[in-house]
Amino acid sequence: MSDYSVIGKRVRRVDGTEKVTGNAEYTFDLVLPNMLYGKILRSPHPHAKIINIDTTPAEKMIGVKAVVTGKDTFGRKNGVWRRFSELCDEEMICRTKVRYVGDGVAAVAAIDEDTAEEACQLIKVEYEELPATFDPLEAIKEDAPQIHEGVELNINVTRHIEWGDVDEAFKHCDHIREDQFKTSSQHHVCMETHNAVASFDYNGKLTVWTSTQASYYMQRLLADMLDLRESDIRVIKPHTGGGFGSKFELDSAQFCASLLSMKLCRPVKIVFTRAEEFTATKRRTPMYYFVKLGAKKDGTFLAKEVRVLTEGGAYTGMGATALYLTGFFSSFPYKYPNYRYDGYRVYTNTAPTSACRGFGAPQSTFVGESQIDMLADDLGIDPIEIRRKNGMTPDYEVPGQAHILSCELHQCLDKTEEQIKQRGKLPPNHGIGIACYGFMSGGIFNWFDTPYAFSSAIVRINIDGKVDLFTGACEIGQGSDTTLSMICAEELGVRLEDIRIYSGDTGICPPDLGAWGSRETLMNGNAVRMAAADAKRQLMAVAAGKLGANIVYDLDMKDRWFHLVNRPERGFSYYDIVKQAIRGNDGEAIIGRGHYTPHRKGMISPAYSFGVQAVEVEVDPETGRYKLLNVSTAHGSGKVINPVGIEGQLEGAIMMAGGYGLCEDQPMDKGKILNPSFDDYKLIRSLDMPETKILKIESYEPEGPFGAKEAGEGLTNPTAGAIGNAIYKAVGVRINDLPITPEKVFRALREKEKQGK
Amino acid sequence: MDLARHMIGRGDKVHRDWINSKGFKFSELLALQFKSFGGEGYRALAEVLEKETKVED
Repeated sequence: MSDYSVIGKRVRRVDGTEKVTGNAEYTFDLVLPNMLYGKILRSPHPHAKIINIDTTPAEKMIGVKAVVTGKDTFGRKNGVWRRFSELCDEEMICRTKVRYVGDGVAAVAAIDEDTAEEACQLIKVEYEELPATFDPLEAIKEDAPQIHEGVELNINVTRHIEWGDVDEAFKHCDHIREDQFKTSSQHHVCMETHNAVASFDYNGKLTVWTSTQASYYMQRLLADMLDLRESDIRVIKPHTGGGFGSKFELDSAQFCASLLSMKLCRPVKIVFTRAEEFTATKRRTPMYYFVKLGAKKDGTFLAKEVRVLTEGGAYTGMGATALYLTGFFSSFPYKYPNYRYDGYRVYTNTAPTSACRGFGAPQSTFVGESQIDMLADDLGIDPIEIRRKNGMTPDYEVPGQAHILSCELHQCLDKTEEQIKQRGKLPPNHGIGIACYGFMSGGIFNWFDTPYAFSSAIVRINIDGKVDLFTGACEIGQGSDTTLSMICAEELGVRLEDIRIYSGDTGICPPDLGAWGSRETLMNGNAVRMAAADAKRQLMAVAAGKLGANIVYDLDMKDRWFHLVNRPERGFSYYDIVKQAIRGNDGEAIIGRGHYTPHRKGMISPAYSFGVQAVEVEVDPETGRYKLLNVSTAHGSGKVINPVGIEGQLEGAIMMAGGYGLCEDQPMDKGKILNPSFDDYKLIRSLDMPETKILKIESYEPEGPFGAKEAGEGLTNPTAGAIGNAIYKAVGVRINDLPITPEKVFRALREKEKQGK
Repeated sequence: MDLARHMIGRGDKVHRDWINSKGFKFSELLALQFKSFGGEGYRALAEVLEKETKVED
């Protein structure tokens, strides 16, 4: 029997009714009086100097109200790694040079979208084309064109992680593998494209409604770029149709709409088309992996060395974080006594790469889990056994990097093994592959250089007992409004329907770093819990006085009833106490405050999820075509706040990560993305979805609110690796480059036949 | 080795200039580092750093 009255219950989303009835309003739906519509003119060249821009024909067009170019900006470069100015390298409207097909060169505000679009075509831009480079292996050559001034070999960022004595350890290995892998790009494919409505008024205040994962970041970055005071900008996040990592950097819709609005003192709305979304926003980072793994003959890992070259695209964005995390998660979730990682992010004349759900870990997990199966196969060891032998355990220290508190990996392996056994003997050309994974519950390193707490929340209890919860956390479809409301209700001792949440509005909510890195449940959850506890403490003081009980007795509130813990029948109604507390507080509502910033938790995250996924495939050996039949996942996310939420995250992750493994890619010709539409960009659709199963794992994370930790991005990490391993089990071919298309399987099968294997 | 990793990894102008002043080419050290396993780029710089420290002692 659970001690909780709200936590752990299957509840419907607090925003569910609005959404399923079509009443939820997104930025896309917003129309303001006197509003104009903006469009952005983009570069058709991957690398070129801007010699001249003539905007006169566009400005003369009837219906056009303003045109802006790079000279109208403040000459500032945007970047979310604000602590390192050299990594703030992106002009939102280019002044002298474009670096990828899609870079913005001008923006227009007009009375409607068609007029704005037509006016863009009238802007004459004179370019001088420059040699371009598209592949990181080419871009690092001495004779490659330099994309950013002063950046040698186009190397944007390097990251190095090392512990133990790697070279010495390799001398003691019985078996060593050296393998190469290549991972592909992937687009976030948010249902709602990037957009913004900006309104600058005559009082000098800018209000921006936008689809974002981080309202506070947008407020701060707009202040940097537009030379405004942070408090003169209010960013409001209405309902948001997905982010997946693509919406916590400043984008050109937000910037250009704001700039145009400042010029005109009228609201301006910019909504990206689907083609713009595919070509002019950031994407998952493709990576070249060179990996050396050494073990004893019993399967004990002794050393691992990883070298990675990533395709950075034209700008840094969050790519520096992805580079670090892919290195860190290359060691996950195993105990490598000796480990070395060298990562290089390379500028290329392609669309910038950045954060995408999993943040470098889907790449490292595909590579790592494929190679572990290959090593196990070489040594004749069962894939589960080799993982069990080397897997992380609770209270494990990753040298110099992280302290793992809770770790459910072995529990997950046991459950998965049980599940595989239940599947029994498989038919021919069927295979089950597994992959282990882990992920962080929010990041620690303050690259944004915020002076605020990472998360904060305010709870206000009104006279009727209704609780207003204010938080900067951003609900983007992942369910954080529901999760945080549940945490608040549980801590206060009221019901979920007593909570009304206000989130993602910088005008009324305290700052929070936003919804990325699977951080909201743990980090904002801790802040909400603290704020609720603060408010509850104020009510308890009143209740204790009213009860007049001996002070040694403990008081609590559950389900709107203040009572003595040992004599629950002795107490008072929550409503009565609230009324008395407010009267006794000179009529002021009860306010509770909470905040959370991780301290002494290593360099990466305060907590980590762990899991194992098993994927069953059926391969047609004639065509290489394969089906995902069944995906079972054992995911340790600490105490589950809302089981329905985890199920939603898992289904979505399998669709996204299955697509990453099976079909999603962004092929290019001279830097131009060739499939910028839903006709050509291949996604897993509902009919391709496999049967899914969650294997229940019980655990508790000491750092998390009520023991909870992440259950969002981590679920995206294992699928590609498990698919690769399943195909090998089914038909004996190994594909080392993503996506594992049927064509690649077909070619590998024919090659295998040729070699008479 | 830690210092060599820091200097190559940071890769800003101050570190690049210092490395170049010791007869290396920063870009070559980087290339050496990512072309093969074994941390050769770091090792080459670490040897120089070790000598420099001894001179100062």
